Amino acid sequence: MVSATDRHHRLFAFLTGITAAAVLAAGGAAVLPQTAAADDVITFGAALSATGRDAREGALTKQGYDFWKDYVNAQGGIKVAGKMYKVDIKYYDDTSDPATSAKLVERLITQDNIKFILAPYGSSATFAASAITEKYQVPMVDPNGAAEAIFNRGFHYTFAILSPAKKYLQGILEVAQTLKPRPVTLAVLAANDQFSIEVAGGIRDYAKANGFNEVFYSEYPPDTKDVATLLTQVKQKNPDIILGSGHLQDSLLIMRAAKDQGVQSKIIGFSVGPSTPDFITSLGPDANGVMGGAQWTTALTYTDATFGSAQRYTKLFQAKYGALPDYHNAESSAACETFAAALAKAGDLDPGKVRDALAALDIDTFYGKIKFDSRGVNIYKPMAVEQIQKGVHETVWPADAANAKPLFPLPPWGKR
Amino acid sequence: MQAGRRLAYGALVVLALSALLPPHLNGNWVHVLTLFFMMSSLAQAWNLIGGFAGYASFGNVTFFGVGAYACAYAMNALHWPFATAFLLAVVAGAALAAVLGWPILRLRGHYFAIATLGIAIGMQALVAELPPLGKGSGMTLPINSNFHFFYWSMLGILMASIALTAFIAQSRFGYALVAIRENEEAAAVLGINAARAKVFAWSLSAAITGAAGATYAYWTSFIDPPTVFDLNFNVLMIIMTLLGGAGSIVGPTLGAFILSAIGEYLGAQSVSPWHTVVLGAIIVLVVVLLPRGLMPYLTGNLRAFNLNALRAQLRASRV
Repeated sequence: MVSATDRHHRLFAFLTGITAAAVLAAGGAAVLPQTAAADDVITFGAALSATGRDAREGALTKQGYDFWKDYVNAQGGIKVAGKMYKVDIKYYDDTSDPATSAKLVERLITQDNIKFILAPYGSSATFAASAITEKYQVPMVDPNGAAEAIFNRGFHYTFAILSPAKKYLQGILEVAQTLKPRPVTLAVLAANDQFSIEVAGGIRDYAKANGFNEVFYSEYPPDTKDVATLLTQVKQKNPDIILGSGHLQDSLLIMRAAKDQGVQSKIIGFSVGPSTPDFITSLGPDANGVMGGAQWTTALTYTDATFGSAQRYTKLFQAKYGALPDYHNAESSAACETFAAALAKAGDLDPGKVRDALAALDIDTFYGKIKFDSRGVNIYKPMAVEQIQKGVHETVWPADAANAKPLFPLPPWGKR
Repeated sequence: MQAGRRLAYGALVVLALSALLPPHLNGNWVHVLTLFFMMSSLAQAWNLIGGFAGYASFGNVTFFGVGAYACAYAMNALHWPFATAFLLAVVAGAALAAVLGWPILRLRGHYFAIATLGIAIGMQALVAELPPLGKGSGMTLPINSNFHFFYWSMLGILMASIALTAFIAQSRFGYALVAIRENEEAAAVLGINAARAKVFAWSLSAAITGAAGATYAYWTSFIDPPTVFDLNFNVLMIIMTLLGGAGSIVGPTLGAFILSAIGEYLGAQSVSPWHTVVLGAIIVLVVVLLPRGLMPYLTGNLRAFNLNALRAQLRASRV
């Protein structure tokens, strides 16, 4: 008979052993590939969502960063003050938690000695990270934190290349104004988080000023799992247009609930969701006809010195990953490209000088023109509108870049 | 308990010395230690109600969120300095626990756990609907880039919570809580006002938690409901306390130290989701294999739950 004390001691030893083994295994795996930072490598740092609620968007962001890194390294690297540098990116997982993002950005700067930060995914995380980059006076280029609140704090080291949140859904109403018979009534569903409320606020102001009639507005909790009751209310109002301001998971929930309840509008669109490949694979034919605000589409005609054009970026991306790039991919690659342009312009690896170069930047990229106002917001870039037609993303707005006519009104459920 | 108290004094000395560290550390380590002090404080606070009184609160994160919002509102809307905003957060946390505790602490076991979980979720939803608190958009606070200040603040909260626990552990109040945990009816027969003791314990717990929440809000300078009412905080408080030893004096801090160290080590290695899986597996093993935590191994007090030993202890302590 073994005494309770002995058993406890043995279990304790066992546990200690397992813990040590796990820690050593994880450590060993990580130590091997680490090499001393060579002086001909410029390392960027990013804390991204590999796990948690934004894991999918975080993965798309990382893909965009990595695609740029691999592409420019294959071309020999980037040139700063006449010297060619290879580029590398150090990543951490922020578990979709803004506080962890801030912590890891501080780690990147103070522990890993990284001078150039690529922003995390999403407004909340970027918001948290911006306070850290500001403290250490390290520039951060932000491809997908669109809430303007980030830029209203008087910071000088955060630069967003994307259009601000309030513009996300405006394009869809601009399209609607061109359609006959013109849709008028509007329902807006918004997740109760900073980014989504800014998006909704922007579109509601635009609707009011442009002769749309808002018949329904509601906010829902950002981590909601059920929107059925919301759609019941929407159905009673029978709006011409339904706009959802949230994230990918919300847009899928709303689409499924709308189908379950047979909510039939003439237009349905989302701020985030339709542009991702997952939207089409999850919904199948039901995805057809859905519009989405897009920071970038493959049909846009912008050109640049790195990738050549939006089309060439698309082709290269597709060859490498076997899927069309969505706008998260593109804006993330463009953020890297913006950083590289600022480094070249500064002709120096000093973060302060690179920051000044970013502030004065005025360049063309495959993603669009990039020039920042004094807050660090890109002043040039318009949003596009995509619509899914026959299972493919088509650009329907702006008119001069459109490669398809809007499918209007939406066919009934079951015939999409 | 003697060995436990000696350990507590030792821990306080080590922590006091760690106040000298910030000028010698880079920002990363200051950040990591500040978070460790914060999580330790939360676990120490949870231990008062969950470890001593045996009431497993899944709602302590409510007081973290309320403290954070009280501080944010006081600084942002009322333009109070941090010191007074901090005091408001402490009072708000304690008062809320007293008001909620009076009805809720009559529930036992699972019922109490579920009720507190409901409060945490409900409070997050409520705050997300209140316009003066910024609804779902959250609130910003004035920026203070002196991160050493937050290091010392969190350290101060932690040391205060350990000192408080050490004091409670040898007080009549502490023994009353343990008696309630072991047998509430018997405690009542002994003349212990169980309701009052439990409410007081939860209020102390909430005051510490609110203090940490207020400091956290000022530190990150931006809060929103999902961040400060994050149930993960609550789960971590419980696991850290269980790992170190529920009902001990510095067990929660020991548990927080081990979990933070492992999490820090694994999280720093890669972006793969495996670090969370490994951390999860370690947590499962701890709970299964060490139901009483690590403290008994350090204090040589392995038989503390042995009834005879407990009786001898009680006799020795002349309660």
